[in-house]
Formats: sequence, C-alpha cells, structure tokens
Amino acid sequence: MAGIVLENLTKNFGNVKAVDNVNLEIEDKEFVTLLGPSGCGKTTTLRMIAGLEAPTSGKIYFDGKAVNDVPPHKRNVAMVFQDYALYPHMNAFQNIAFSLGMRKIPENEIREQVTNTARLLRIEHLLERMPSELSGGEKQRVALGRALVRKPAVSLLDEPLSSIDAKLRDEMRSELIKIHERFPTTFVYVTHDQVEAMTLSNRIAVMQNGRVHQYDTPINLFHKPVNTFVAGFIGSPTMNLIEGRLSKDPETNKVTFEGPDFAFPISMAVGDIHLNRKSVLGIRPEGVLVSEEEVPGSFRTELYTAEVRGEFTILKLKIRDTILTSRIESGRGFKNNMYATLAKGYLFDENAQLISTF
Amino acid sequence: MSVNSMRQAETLKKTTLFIVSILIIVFTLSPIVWMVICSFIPDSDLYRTPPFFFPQKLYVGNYQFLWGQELEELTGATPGVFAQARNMLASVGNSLIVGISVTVICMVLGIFSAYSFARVPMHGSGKLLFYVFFSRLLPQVAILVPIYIIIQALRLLDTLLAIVLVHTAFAMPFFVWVLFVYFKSIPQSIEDAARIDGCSRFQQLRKVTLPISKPGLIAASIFAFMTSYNEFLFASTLSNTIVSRTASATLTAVAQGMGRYSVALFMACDVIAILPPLALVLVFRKQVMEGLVTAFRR
Amino acid sequence: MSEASGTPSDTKFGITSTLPTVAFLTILSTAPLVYAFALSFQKYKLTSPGQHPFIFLENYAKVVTSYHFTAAITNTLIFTVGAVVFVFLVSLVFSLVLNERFRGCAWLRILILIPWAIPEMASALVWRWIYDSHFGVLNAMLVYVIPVFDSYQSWLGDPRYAMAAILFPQIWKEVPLCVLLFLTGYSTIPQSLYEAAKIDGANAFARFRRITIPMLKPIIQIVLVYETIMGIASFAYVYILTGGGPADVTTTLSWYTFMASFSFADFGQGAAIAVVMSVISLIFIVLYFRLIPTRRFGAVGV
Repeated sequence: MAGIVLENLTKNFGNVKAVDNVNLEIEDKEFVTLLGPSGCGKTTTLRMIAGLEAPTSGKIYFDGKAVNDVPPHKRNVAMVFQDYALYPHMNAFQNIAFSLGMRKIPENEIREQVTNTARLLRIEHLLERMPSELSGGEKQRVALGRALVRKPAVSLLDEPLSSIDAKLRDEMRSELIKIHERFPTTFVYVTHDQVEAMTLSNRIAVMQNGRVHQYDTPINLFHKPVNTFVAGFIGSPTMNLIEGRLSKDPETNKVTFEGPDFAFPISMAVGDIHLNRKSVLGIRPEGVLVSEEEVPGSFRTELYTAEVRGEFTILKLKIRDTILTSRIESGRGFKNNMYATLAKGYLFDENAQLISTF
Repeated sequence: MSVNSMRQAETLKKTTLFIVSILIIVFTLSPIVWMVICSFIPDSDLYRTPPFFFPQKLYVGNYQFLWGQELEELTGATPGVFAQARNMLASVGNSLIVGISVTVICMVLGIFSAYSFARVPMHGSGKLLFYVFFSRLLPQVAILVPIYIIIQALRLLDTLLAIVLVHTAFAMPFFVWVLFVYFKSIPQSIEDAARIDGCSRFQQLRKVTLPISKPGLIAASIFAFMTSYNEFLFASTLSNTIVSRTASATLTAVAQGMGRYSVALFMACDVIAILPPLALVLVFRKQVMEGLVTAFRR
Repeated sequence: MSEASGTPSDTKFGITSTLPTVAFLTILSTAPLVYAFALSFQKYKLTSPGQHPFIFLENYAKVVTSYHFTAAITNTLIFTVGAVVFVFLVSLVFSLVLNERFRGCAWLRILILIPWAIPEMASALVWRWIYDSHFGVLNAMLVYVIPVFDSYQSWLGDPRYAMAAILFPQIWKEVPLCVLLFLTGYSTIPQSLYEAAKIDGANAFARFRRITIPMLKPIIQIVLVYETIMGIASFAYVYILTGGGPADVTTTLSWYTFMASFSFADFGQGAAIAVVMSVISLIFIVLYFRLIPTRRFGAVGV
C-alpha cells in the first residue's frame, strides 16, 4: 500500500502555471480530496500522481520511492474518470477484467475476482452488457469496479460524481464511503463540490490557481479556515465576507471593525500591525442570529429575500447596502424588519489571512 | 400565408427538387453510362454520325479480346497501342498489387505516426505533423523529373517496387492526416484508463485504440489505395513494359491512340479499370464519406 | 497537438513512431523537391548527358520570358478561377437538393460519390471520346438531339472551346467532395435557428442568405482554398484532352512544367518551372493554413 508525498510539484503548460509548488503528504489508506474551483490545478495534480502528465519540476514519492520516471502502467494506481472511460468495444466484465488480464492472471482467478467485486458493487447482473447499454450510475459502478478489482495501492477519482444527477449523487456518495471501508486503499479524490469533499474525506486540500491554501480535516477547515478563500469555499450557504477597516479608539483602546454600512466592535485582542488597514469580517450564516426584538449589539435590517429550503430558511438581510445571509429554522417565521446579531465570526487581514475568531 | 400560396410554394419546391435530381443523375452518370455503352458496341458501329445511342444487342467482342481471345475485326493500325490494351487485365492486377502494398506500408508506418502526433506529448510533434502533411500539397508534377532521375539512378525503372515507393510517399500524408484527426476524436480518458490498467503505449494502441478505430482505418486505407490506383503520371513515366504497368499507366498509353482506332476496345479497358475503385467506394461508402468529412473538418 | 513535454518513455515512443514516416517522406518527397530546386540552377539537357554546369538563374530567365510562361500563368488563372467558381456553385446547388428528404435521395447521395471514385485517367479517356470532333457523343447530342449547332464542333481543337472543354471534367471530378463538405456543414447548423427565423417571418431565400451562408463560412473557406490548390495542380485533362493546345490556349503551369521537362528534354528548365509552380502553390497552402482553424460561428443561446 502507499503513502504519497508530493514535493514542490509544479506543472507548466506553456506560460500557464497549472500546478504551482504543491507540497502534500497523503498517508496510506487515507481518503484525501483535492478541492477547488475549475482551473485550480486539482485534476492536473491527480494526473501527475497517475503518471499521465509529467511534472515540470518536483517529485512524487510512493512509499518513499520516487516515481517520476515510472510510467502509469507500472505505478499500481487505479483511476476512475469523470466520463467513466469504459472501453466501448468490451462488455462490463471485460472492462473490469482488463487490468487483470494485462497482468497475466489465470482466467479462473480473474473470473472470481471480477464477480466478487461486481457483487460488492451490486452490478453482477450487468456484467454481460456493453457500456452503451448501461445507465450513468451503472457505468460509474463498472468504472469503480475496474479500478478496485485489482486492489491498487492508490485509487484516483477525478470528479466521478459530476456526470450523475443529483439524487443518484447522494446515494453514490454514501456508497463511496462504504467502498473505502471495504477496500482500504489510499483514495485521492478530486472535486469542486465541497459537500462531497466534506462528507467523504479524511483530509481536504483546498486549491486555487495551482496552490494549496489549506490542507486539513473537514472540521478544521470549517472552523479554522486559514484565509477568506477557504472560508468562502467551505460551507453552504457561503460565509458572509464583509470588507472594511480595523480602527482603535485611542482612549478606550477598543477595536472596531468599520464596514461600509455598519461598525462592529471587536472584543478580542488585535495586534497593532493590523490597525488602520483593510480587513475582512467573516460570519457564517449560522452565526447571524436574527430576532424580532431589538437586542443590545444588534443591527436593524431590512428583509431582502427569503428562501425556504425545507428545514432551514435562508434570509438575506440588508444593512443599508450590505447584504448578510442568515440561516434560521423554518418554523420561526420572519418579518420585514428584524435585528441581526453577529455571533461567531472570523477576522481576516488585508492579505486575507486569518487574524482571529470570536 | 394563405393555403393556396403555401401549396404553390410546395409544388415549386417539389418541381425544383425533381429537376435538379435529374440533373444530378445526368451529371454524375452520363460519362460512365456512355463509357459502358460504347464498350458493348463493335468498333465499326462507333464511327458513325449519329452514333447508336442504345445498341440493339450487346457486343462482347471487346471484352473477349481483353480476356485473351484473338478477333479478326480488332486488328488495329498500331500494334503498339493494341498491345497495351491487351495488357489491361494484367495491369489492373499490377494496380491491385501496388495498391495493396502501398496500403500495407502506410498502415505499418502511418498508424504509429498518426497516433503519436495525436496523443503522445513530444517536443516538435506539431512541426513534424505539419511537415508530413505539407509534403503532399505541392504539385506532383514538380518532382516528376527528380524522382525519375533518382529511380533511374537506383536502376529501379520499370519495377513495381519503384511505383510502390513513390505511391506510398504520395498516399502517406493524407493517410496520416485522416488517422490523426480520427485518433484525436477518441476520448483521451479511455486511453488513459488503458494505460493505468497496465498497458504500455504500444499495448494500449493495439488493444484499445485500434479496435475502436476501425471506421477511420478503413477510410484511411481506402484513400491510400485510391491515391495509388488513380496516380498515372509517375506510374506511366517510370514504367516501360507490362512488368510494371498499372491500370492507370496502361490507360495513359492507350490514350495515345484515342479517337483514331478501336475506341470501343479502349472503352472496355476503361470499364475494367474503374471497377475496383468503384466497387471499393460503393461498398465502403459510409466510411469513405465520414473519412473525407473528418479529414477536412480538422 | 501534443506539444507539452512528456515522460521519457513517451518521448521514446514518439520518436520511434514518427521517425520512419518522416524519413520515408523526406527521402521520397522532400529530397526530390530539394533536388528539383538544385536542378533548376543547372543546365541539365538530355542531349548533353554528364555535363550539368551551374547556370544559376538562366533557366528561370528562359522560363519567365518564354511566351509559354505568360500563357501558362494566364491559363492557370482562368482555369483555376473557373474551376473554383463553378465547382462551388454546382456543389452548392446539388448539396441543397441532396440535403432535403425525398424518395430516392439516399440513392442520389451514393451516386454523387462516383465522379470522385473514378480514376482521373479513366475519366479523361471517356471525356476525350465524348469530345471527339468526328464521332463524339457531345457533338451528336448538340446537333441531332437538341439542335444547337449545325455541324460538329472541334471541342478540343477550337480555341474558343478548348478551355471550357478541360474545365468541365475538372468540375465533374471535384463536385462530389464539395457536395459532401457542404452537406456536413448543413448538419452542423442547428435546426432551431431556422425555426426561429421562420417565426420571425423569413422566407426560404432569406433563411438561406442570412443563416446558411454565414454559418457555412468555415466550410466555404476550405472549399475555396482546396479547389484552388486542386485547380493549379490539375494535369490529367490537359495532358489527355488538349496537350496544351490549340496554340497554348490550354497550356497551364502544370502542363508547361511537364512539357519543358519531357518534350524539350531540358530537365533544368523543367525544374525551374516546377519551382515557380511550387512557390505559387505554397502561397495558397499558407493561405489554407491561415484560414483554418477558422473561428466557428457558435450559435448563440443554443
């Protein structure tokens, strides 16, 4: 099995830096997700781990051995592609059996392994069909079967759920968790969907423009985002990010965050270096508490929109020109003018890095 | 629009379609039809004004002659030209040999190159492809003399080998191009999957890419064959005797006697000559059409 | 194109795959071309074998000042323009009809391939016979069936008709491919555009002019440039039908190249013309590659 180490990994396509000095350590049997918007370099990184792209510079280690010069068919990795990439001229059985056949495994063993894997993925009845005769979800499972049947050291998944419709996607997500339990190998997963990443992974590497912003467990990413990008990317609905300035009253020594439309007193200590500079205030929608009566420290707001999403309702509240998103339980009801209290939040400096939380 | 004017427009459209359809049929077929008709008429009946448009009986003497029979009425003024015509069947055979050889060489060399250009990252790959493609577009007449001199120097004049070599050089660029476009249209993820599953590039080509590429391969092969079959300038310049005469070369030689004697016989030669490529294109028309279209679509 | 640098094993594969083809073509295509270029600067007459002194641009001078040359340039121009224009028009009309559905349209689409499938030499032979001034069927048609002329014309020998006579077989041969290209072009235009236009009140002609032609621009460009290249290179029909005559009326560049080499037995001169002809073709090839890849007109909002 394999722990993977990416060391100063860089990939340039002409002048474009697709992957910029990425350093990552993935432990054996871990489920790690590369998360980020399109173009952030996550798929390129995955392909370099697979050996399908050669790094411009940097090294990749499997279990301590450098594999830069090892071609993909010798790396013992398996991959599930976004478009499944099933061999159209072979049926499901042959698709799954293909890699076993390449290793000259005797036929009866192949048959046994393929059937076992198919049974675990519940596609035993589909083995005789051609890919063109399978639905999206079925093709996905065949692709998974093809990847897992040979118990690879590393399984790479490139946005495998993005071509599946929403409902099936939820199902497949739970199945993937089960599959990782049953086939304990290292999983490297690529997606732009943070819900997927959060539910599936042991650790997530949040990427943008070829760099890794933060590499941590889902909980830590959620509660301790290292900058505004991560804070804004993780969590749904998106965190409220308000730009403003930090100022300190020389007499009272109290620090205030001055946004464009309201000022907010900061209770934690803030280093002098951040004073009188640009700052970003981050509040998650769950941290915007709403009350119908005025409460000390709250702001009067005007209701902009309300979206009832089943159990929760998302309210967009306007304080002059700033819009705050708040999440409340639907039973509570809402009015046109309510008062918003900012409870939990984050403070980011002018470089979008985290200063403190409150 | 009123119902009446809609109906008028409808009939106008139908009539135009009909007229143009007839035009298409006449345009496409009339030379061929005339060729066939003339081949089934005895020569004496051809030199009449007006000619017999629709002969009463089918005269097979011309074909019998080509099949080896001696016929008194077909002794022409110049035995030379007749001797050429006599060789029609043999030269068609030569054309087939050359055509198939050309296709085989193109396949062996061309599949790998086309695949490499399409999928294997390598510095200078694009420039090489341009170079390969480029060589075809210049007028062939331009290199007639140098090739002649080279072949003569190699003592390969009047050999099928020379023709095979020259024709392969003509056929290869388009072959590579058609396959290049075709390979590029295969989703890369399938090939990636094969390589992850344990295939080297070569194995992946053999086990996954090629089985999927059958239509493209058929089209490219047919084009290669036809390029060779159609080529007449080099085929006739580089050959002297029946040993290396291709069908097109024989026709070129026969053309010297056109209009002066035994046109019917020459028409029969022509009919025989066009049968192989015509059959090929009609049988594989789907692949041919798709191949042509993808090649030009880029 | 796969330009990015790849793994070492890939590079090895790439080189072994492409080298044979490139070498083959270099020996049999590029080298002769270079040799032709070199020849054009030499005096290489078959009448004086073994003596090939360098005479630099003398061949070119002889070529360019020859009256054959001006004729060749003019005739090639006329021929090519005529070929391109008529191939384009005929293919357009035919393809429009073949694009419709009606009984037998499938057969017609098969038929249209035939001129492309026939070897050039084979069709040249038939055309020669059709054009025959004594017994040819064209004459018979135009005198007996639809009386246009009183007596048989010499299509190939009459300077008034010779150019048209060699133009027609070229058109005949090139139409199938262009029809095919147009047909594919039509299939890429989304039906929804036409439907929207119909609702907006456009009649068939307006739809053709405003939707079909603009959306077809990439294909039209391909057709025009490819047919130009084919027109310049066309040789068979001049060779078999007119032999460049009468009186140089149909002498094209390709014919002049051939004649200089084999009839005048002056390989040096032949090479010089060949180079000139290649340069002219090269200009059009560069055009070809400039115009493609073309920017495709994406249908907005589809």
